[in-house]
Amino acid sequence: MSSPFVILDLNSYLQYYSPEEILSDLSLFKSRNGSEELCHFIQETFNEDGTKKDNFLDFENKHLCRIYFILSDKVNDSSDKCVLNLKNGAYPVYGYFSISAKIFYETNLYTDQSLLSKKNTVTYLIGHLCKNDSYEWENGGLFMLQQCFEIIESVHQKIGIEYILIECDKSLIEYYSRQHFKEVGFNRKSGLFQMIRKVSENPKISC
Amino acid sequence: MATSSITDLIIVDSEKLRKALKELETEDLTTGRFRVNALEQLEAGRKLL
Repeated sequence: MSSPFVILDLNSYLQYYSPEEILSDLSLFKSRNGSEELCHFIQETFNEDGTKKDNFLDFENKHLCRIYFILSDKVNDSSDKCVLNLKNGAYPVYGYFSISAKIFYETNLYTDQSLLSKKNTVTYLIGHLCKNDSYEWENGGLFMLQQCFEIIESVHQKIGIEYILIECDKSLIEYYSRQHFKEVGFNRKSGLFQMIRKVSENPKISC
Repeated sequence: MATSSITDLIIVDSEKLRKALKELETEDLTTGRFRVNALEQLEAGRKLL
């Protein structure tokens, strides 16, 4: 399937451009259906005491995850929407996602185990998946999820690790179930459900 | 999905996990509709820099 999009990883971007440039470009990123947090993660925001909140640049610099932007492969210099300004012009930003490694622990509610005695599993975590709602993009979320799967698949071939983990709110459980994720827990602190699926050597999305 | 997912401890339910792993054993993940050639798109993206 040919695609009108390209993927730009933040790590590569920062070798040529400054953090200030991307912060300025991403200030117009809008997500109607996503949480405010997903927009704030790629912008500069502050706590009540005036200190800066950690955002995507801090996470990237600390190597906590890698962040990928989905850009149109066509320049649009006249857009008043979110674009990344690169050497040949302005490329519309359709969305972003993050991938990292994550260990989860197992607990049995009826036993009192210390953390060290719990079983643990290493996974790939899709930590953010956010579409820019300034642009019309049918099946954009699924398209980005497929990109996550294919990038994870390429790493899996080199280092292994069998499962992919996500945390999502209740309204998205059915959506991710259709993509072969299974619910495995609930995070009381964040209010999010945890779901896992296997890494596939030939992953495909079901619309 | 949330930023806290990256930084916070994640603890899942053992029983649910066992059930999920059993179901995942028989899942066919290769029967969907499309691939997007993400690695080619990544290469294309880096050429824009």
